[in-house]
Amino acid sequence: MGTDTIRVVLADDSPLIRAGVKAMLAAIDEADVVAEAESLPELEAAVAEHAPDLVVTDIRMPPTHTDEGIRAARAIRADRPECGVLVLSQFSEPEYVLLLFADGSDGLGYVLKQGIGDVAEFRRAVLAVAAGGSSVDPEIIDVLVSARSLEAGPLSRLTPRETEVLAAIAEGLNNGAIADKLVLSEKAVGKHIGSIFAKLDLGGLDDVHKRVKAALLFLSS
Amino acid sequence: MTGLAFYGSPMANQTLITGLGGSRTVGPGVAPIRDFAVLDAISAGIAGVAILIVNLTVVSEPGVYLVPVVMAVLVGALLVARRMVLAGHVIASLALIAASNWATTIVVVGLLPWLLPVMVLTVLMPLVLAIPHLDARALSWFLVGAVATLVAIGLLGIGRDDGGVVDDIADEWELVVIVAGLAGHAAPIGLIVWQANRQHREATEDALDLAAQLSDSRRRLVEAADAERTRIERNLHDGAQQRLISVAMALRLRGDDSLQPLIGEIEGAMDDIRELSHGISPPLLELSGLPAALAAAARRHGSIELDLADVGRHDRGIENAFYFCGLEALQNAAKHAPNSAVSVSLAVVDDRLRLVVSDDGPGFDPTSAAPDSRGMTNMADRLGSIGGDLLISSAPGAGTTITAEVSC
Repeated sequence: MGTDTIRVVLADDSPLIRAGVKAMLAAIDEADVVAEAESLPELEAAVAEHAPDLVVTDIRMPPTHTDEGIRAARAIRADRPECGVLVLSQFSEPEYVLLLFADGSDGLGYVLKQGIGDVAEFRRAVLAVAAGGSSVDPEIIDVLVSARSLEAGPLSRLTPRETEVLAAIAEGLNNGAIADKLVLSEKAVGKHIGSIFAKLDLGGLDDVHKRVKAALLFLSS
Repeated sequence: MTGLAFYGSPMANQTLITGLGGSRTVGPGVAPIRDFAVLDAISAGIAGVAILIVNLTVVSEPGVYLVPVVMAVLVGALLVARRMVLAGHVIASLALIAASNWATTIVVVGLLPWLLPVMVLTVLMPLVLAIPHLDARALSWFLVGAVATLVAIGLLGIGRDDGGVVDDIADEWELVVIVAGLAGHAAPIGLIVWQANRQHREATEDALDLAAQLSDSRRRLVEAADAERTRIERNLHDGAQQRLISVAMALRLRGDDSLQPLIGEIEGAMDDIRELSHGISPPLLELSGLPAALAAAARRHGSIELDLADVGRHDRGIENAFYFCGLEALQNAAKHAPNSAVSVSLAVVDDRLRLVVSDDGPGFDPTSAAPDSRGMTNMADRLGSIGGDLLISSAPGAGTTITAEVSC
C-alpha cells in the first residue's frame, strides 16, 4: 500500500447508495475510488483487475441478494492479505459481525449504512481497515453494551469502565483514540487494557491478537 | 396446580383432519346391502330347492313342503329389498331383509325344531349386516328384533325332542341337514365379513390420504406465506430503506446543522422499517440459523438469559417455525409478564430440537381462556405445519413456560 493513496473498489447494487458512499470517499483525501461494481461477479472481476487496497462492499447484492458481501470479504481476505474489506450493512445485529469475523477480524470492518454521513467517523474506519486493522460500527457496540448489563460470563468480571474500554477495543479504536473517546490519559487506557486482558485470561497472546480476541469475546458473549 | 395445554401433536392433527372431509359420502354405501340381499336370496333358493328335492325323494312328509314355500317368499322379499336399497331406501331395505329372515326362522323352527342351531345364525346375519349402516338408535331396534326372534325360536325349538313335522327322521339325516345348513351360511357371512373389512380398510386409507393431503397443503400454505414475507422484507430492505439511507447520507454530506431535525426524522423512519422487517422475515435466520436469529430477537426484547446450543442448520420450515414461535413467546412475555426474568434455551435433546421460553411473571390458568389465544394458535399452527409439538405450561403466580419440539 502506498503511503498516500488508498485505492478503493466500491460495490453496492443501489446506485443511490453508491453515489452517497462515493461522495463520502471523495471527502476522504487518502481514498481514491478506482472501480465500482453492482454484483458479486463484478466485484470479483474489479478486485482481480485493480488489485485495490480496500474494498467497500454491500452485503446483499446480485445474484442471490443474501450474503454476497460477507462471502466476498472472507474470500478477498484469504486471497489478498494486503487488501482490507469494509462491509456496508443495514443490519445492526452483532451476529453479522461475527459471521464476517469468522476467520479473524484483521483487515475487516463493519459499518452501518444508516450511520454513514459523519466523514470523520467513516474516515477512521476506512484508514483502520486499509491498514489491516478492524473496525465495528459504534451503534452495534452500543446494542451489545445495553443488552449485556445483567448477564453472567467472563465479561461480568469487568468494571463498568473496563467494559467501556473493551467496547472501544471492539470498535477497532487504538489506545490514543480510546483515550480521546473516554476522556482518559493514554496511560490509564493502557492500565485498563492490561486489567481486561488479565481478567479475560488473554495473558499469553501478543497485543494485536489480544485485542482481536477480546473484541470477539465481547461481540459473541 | 400446573395446567397443561397440548397443541399440534401429530395424532391430534390427524383426528381433526379426518373430520374435515365433509363433502365425501360417509358410510359404506348401498353395494354391501345389495350384494347381501342377492346372495341371501340365492342361499335361500338353494336351501328351498334342496329341501323340496329331499322331501320328494327321501322324506315325503307333506308338512315339509311348507319350507320351500317360505323360502320362496323369503327370496321374493330379498329381491324387493334389493330394489329398495338401489332406490336409496337403506333403512327400509335392511328392515325388510331382517324381518323376512326372522319370520322365516320362526316358521322353519316351528316346522323343524332341530334346525334351531342353523336358524340362530340366520337371525344374527341381518343384525351384523346392519351395523355399519345405521345410527345407534336404529341399530338398537334391530337388536331388539333379533333378540325377540331368538327368544321366539328358542321357545319353539329348545326342549322339544320330537322332529316337528318330520317325526321319524333318522339322526344321521338330521345331522347332515344341520351341517349343510350351517355350511350354507358361510357365503353370506363371508360376504359380510369381507365387505366390512374392505370398507374399514378403504375408510382408513381415505382418512390417512386426506390427512396427508391436508398436512401437505398446510405446509405449502406456510411455505408460500414465508416466501411472500421474505419477498416483502427484501423489498423493504432494497427499496424504502435504501432510499431513506441515501437521502440521509446526502443530507449529512451537506454538513448543514439546520438539516439535523430532518435527518433525525429519516432515522426514525429507518428504525421503524427495520423493526417491521424483523417481524416479517429475519434475514439473519436464513444466513446464520436459529441460535443467531434467536439471540438477536432476544436482545431486542431486553435483557434475557440465553442458553442457545449450536444446533446446526435445519429445514427452512423448521427454522421459521421455531423462530416465529420464539418471537411470539418473547412478545407474550413482554406483554403479559413485563419486568420478569425471561430465559430462552435451544438444544437438541434425544434427536428432538427443543426451544424453551419461560418467564417468572404472573402466569395464567390454562384451563380457562389463554390470555393471548391468537398468538398461541399461531404458534400451534406453525409447529403443526412441521409436525412439531407445542407445550404451554403455566399457573397463576407460577410464570409461563412455552416449549416447542420437533423430531430432527
